[in-house]
Amino acid sequence: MRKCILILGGLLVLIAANAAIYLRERQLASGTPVILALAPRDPRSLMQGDYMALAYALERDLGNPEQDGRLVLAPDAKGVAQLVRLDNGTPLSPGQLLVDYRLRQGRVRIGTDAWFFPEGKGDTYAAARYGEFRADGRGAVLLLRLLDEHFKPLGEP
Amino acid sequence: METTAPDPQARRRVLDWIAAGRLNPDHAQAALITVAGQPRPEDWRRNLDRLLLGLGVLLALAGLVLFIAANWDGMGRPTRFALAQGAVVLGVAIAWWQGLDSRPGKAGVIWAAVAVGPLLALIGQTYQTGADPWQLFAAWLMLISPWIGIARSALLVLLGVILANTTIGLAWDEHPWRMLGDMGLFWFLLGLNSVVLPTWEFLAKRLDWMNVRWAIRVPALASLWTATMLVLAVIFGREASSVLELLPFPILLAVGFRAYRRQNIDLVLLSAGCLAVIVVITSGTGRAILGQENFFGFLLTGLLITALTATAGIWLRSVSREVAQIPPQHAKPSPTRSTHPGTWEQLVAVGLATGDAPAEDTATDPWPLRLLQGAGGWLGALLLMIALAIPVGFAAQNEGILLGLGLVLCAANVLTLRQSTGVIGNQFALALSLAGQGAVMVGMMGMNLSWPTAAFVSAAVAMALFFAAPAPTHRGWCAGIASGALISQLIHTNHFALSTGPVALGIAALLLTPPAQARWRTLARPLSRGLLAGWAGCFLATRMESRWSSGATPGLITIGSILEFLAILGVAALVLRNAPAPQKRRAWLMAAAAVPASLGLVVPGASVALAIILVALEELDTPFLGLGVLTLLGLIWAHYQLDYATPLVVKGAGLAGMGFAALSLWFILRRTWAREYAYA
Repeated sequence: MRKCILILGGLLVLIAANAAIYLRERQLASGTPVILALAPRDPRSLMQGDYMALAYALERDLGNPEQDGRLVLAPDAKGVAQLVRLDNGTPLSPGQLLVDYRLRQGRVRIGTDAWFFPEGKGDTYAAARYGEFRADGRGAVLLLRLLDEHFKPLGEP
Repeated sequence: METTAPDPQARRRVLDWIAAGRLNPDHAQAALITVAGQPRPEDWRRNLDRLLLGLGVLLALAGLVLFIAANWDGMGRPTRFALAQGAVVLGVAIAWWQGLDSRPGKAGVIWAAVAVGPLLALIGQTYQTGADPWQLFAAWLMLISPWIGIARSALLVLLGVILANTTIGLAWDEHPWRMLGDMGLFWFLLGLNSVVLPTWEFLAKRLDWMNVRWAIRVPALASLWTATMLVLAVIFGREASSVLELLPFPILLAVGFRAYRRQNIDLVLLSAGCLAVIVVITSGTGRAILGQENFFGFLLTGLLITALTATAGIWLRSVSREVAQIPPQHAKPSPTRSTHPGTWEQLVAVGLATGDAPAEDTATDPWPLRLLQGAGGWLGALLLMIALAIPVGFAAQNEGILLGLGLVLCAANVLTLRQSTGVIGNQFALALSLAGQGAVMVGMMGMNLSWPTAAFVSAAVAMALFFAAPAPTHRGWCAGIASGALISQLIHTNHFALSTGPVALGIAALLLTPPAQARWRTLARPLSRGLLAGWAGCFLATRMESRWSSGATPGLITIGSILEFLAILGVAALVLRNAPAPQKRRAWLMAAAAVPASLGLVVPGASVALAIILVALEELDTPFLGLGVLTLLGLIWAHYQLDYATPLVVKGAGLAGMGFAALSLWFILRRTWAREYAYA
């Protein structure tokens, strides 16, 4: 009986982990591309060891919302997503997209607030100007890679 | 011979009796083995077995982790996930294969449960969804909860409790309820741990495997800490607080007193309770009377802390004597006497002692009590020093006066210790001594004395106090301060390699046979303890490995390594001095095991860590064992973290190589022993 639970517990861990991996791989592969402009979060500590603190230009346009919610975004001429409005349940026009935001430590956070990279690769990512995401259309976004000012992916050969 | 449970108190008592001439020094080893559970040669066999196995696994794993880190870029995502999941599967497989009730099987489940955390962290880091950190800990707890249920391991339950606390602590920051302030968080944690603690105690009475005292202390200390924080919040009034927040503290103390004084005596928790009461009382009075440059306020508060600590010390000492009178094997307490019938009568029974038991003289206190006294001493000393500095002034011309006052305090400390051996005298003397030494140091700094000179003077003052006053606890502190001052001087001038000298001296003080150790114990024991602890403290505080490898010249490293190597050989040889011939060969093998460790980690410090571990095993000293393990872990961490010049691959290979060397040695010894003894 105990050995049964031991094995079932192991299966639970493997299933949960691989389901999470599968869902996120699928989102990266077939999600809608979203490009957000980065804003320097704090010029003195943009680079902190092996990760980079991220902030997005969108956050300034958003002002000071009072609670977590969703944004409606649409790409501009260069393909960079811009804020259209806060989501209020009204139907979206074609090309528009929903993205979740959350309030954490008094700041607006869209997706992740950090980009992790291997030890010693900090210089490569110092040129980052945009973050490229994959959205699942229901609000969740995954950061795929960072882009420089010419939209060239960083850290890829 | 029947194995006795290890009893550090009995060990100290026997050494005291030998020093007092009540026991024949030639019987020291036999007496220690009889009553104290002193490690016998065959116990050493088991200790070495565990040490080598633990060390080998630890180093090999650390090496493996660095190896993976080094090849991170070259590895695709699938490989990384496979590795992380493989670790979980490995643990489950071991548990399945060895059975859940065996030691390796339990280790397997715990390994699997711990490995779930890194797996989740890896997924979170690879796909950056921006999920909050608390979600990771919550998922971790949920996924391992089936295993917590079946493993019958208190350690795994403790992991669950810690994960629950961490989840709540982290989630608090993200939740709208954070508007309630930190007080809300403390209430939440207090609520959680005050449910966990009685549940655990209830289960401990029924399930043997849940009855692991040190693990139970974690939720107990967490409840005490949160209740204390609530009271301090009211006292210092940082946030809107109500009288309601004062309530949990006395309730918890009352319940704790009933549980850990009346039912099961737990000196650690009682000491922690005393410390909490002292902190609350002095915070309350301090807030009322402390002000800017208020000489009497600081003086009174300093004296109050010292007096309260001494009072707590007297009470705890009486409780600890009560514990000592209960012979380890018997549940019923023996009739109250001023001696230790348990220890003495055991010796009489085997013919090692004759006559009536000696009267109790200088009881050596158990470690929680010594820790409390140390903490009270430091706090009191700090306030006394501030009080001292106020009339003298921090102005530039008065360092001479401060220095003079410091020396006066030191002299007062010596006088106190020579007059009194009681708890109160010791407590005041410790505060006087620390305040005096601090004042001397500040005075010298003000006089712009160069650092080497100041360090040497500080060390000299500490050593003078060491020899002048015959109190063991105070001697330990003084040796530690002297060692710290000298070693920081050596770091300052990039001669850290030579710091192995004082450490070697400290170990040498232990190279005394039990009879000699008994005779010299008031000098040798605190000296060796202080020096080793001073070294380890210095090392852990500054993580000085980078200084070691960058600043020191190769010649010094060689000298230091040789000193360390000789010291460890000496310890090894003397620990097994009375052992039969085959055991002696083991001693040399063990010493040989220290060589790759010290060479591979670049610093000879690895062998200091090993020396601390060996001494702790010989002396049955759990906190000292903890210090040794901590130093070893610190070394490995520093090796990875600070030495940027060496590539990760080389570091990983070095650690893994040492680990496999230790494991091979373990395997060989196990084979040899299996032939010679019936292996348990």
